Amino acid sequence: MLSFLFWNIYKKPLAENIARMALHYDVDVIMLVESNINPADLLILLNQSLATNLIGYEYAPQYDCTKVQIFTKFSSQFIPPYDDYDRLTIRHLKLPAREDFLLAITHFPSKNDFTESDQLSESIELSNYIKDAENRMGHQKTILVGDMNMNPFEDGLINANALHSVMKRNIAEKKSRIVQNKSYPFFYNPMWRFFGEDVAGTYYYRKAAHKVYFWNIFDQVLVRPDLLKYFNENELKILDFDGQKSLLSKTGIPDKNNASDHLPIYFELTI
Amino acid sequence: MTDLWPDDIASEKITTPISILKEQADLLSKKTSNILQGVIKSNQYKGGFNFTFRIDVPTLNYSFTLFEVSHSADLYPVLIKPSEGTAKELGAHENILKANSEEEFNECLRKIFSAEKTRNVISILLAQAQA
Repeated sequence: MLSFLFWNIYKKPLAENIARMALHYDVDVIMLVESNINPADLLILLNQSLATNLIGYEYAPQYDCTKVQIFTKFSSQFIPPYDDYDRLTIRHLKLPAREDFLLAITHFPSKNDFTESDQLSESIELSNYIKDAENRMGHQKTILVGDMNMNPFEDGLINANALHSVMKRNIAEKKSRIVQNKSYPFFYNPMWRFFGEDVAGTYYYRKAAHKVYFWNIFDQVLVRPDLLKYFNENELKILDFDGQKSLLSKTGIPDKNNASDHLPIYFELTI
Repeated sequence: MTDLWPDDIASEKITTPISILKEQADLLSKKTSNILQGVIKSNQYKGGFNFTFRIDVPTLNYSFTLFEVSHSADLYPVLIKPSEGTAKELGAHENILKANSEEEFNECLRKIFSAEKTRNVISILLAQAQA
């Protein structure tokens, strides 16, 4: 089993919170965006309380991607960059005695800078980067994780020529869909189910306008059909607790003063 | 004062699942001259009594989860969740093995340790650790 934590930390000094979460949830792969943390400082915290004979967490640096930091509780030699872009890093996880797969991590452009139309166009680009990596790798065993800055129902996540992610596992299991004689592979997007829960998203935003969702699920994990058998649905969580402290304010929304404006997501692969 | 307690009230020794797991983890370490190290990890956040049987490979800074075990305060039944491949090989219903007693638990562990998938994992880890 491999466990993953993704968190947009809002450029805050949250190393202690991250270390607590890593220990409490026994996280194997930590993925951070909007992070100014010095990797060495975080590694000291991550490893000081790890009771193990192993070296512990390592930093898995990227080439060109400036938006993502990755820390792994195994040697970084097992998670080399396969493709690197400014906002996207694609890693080839080739762990001993386990099936290999691709892990794509992104911090997608926000609605402050991009219109909905821009985001759709960029989603198509993102999808093409992933498909290109899959073609060269020779399989479609891919997980995409990131702050998508879009909700699961938006065009960039839904459209066939974009990320083509669907809310139902059994639809994704059909692997692909043909539109105008062209086949488009599915992603399964399990994040839909959090709408309506107590913590109904990863990001909260309100303003005095007519159309406001309040809770948004910007932070998402998408799973290709070929990895679905390893995706542990019950262990997918939006975390509101770091093992010691709540990540929510007294009003029950992300505590951006003491933590981040985003909540982290946690998931597992039984690979 | 009259002692109302039966004489053998504290004589029954129950081996807990965690004790069995720790013994087996130590045996793996010994059998592989510590190249592979069996480690039992308690997963507090998953609630109840939940443990992971892990194989650590210090020379690779790598660990492999062999299976998870969970039980209530009553100790038994114990639910054992091996990898999907191992579960299929052992014909586990919904990928879970259930042990209603210490004997059944030992038998489940014996089957998991002898499974082809487990043997394969250990061979690969040993080979890579010594490469």
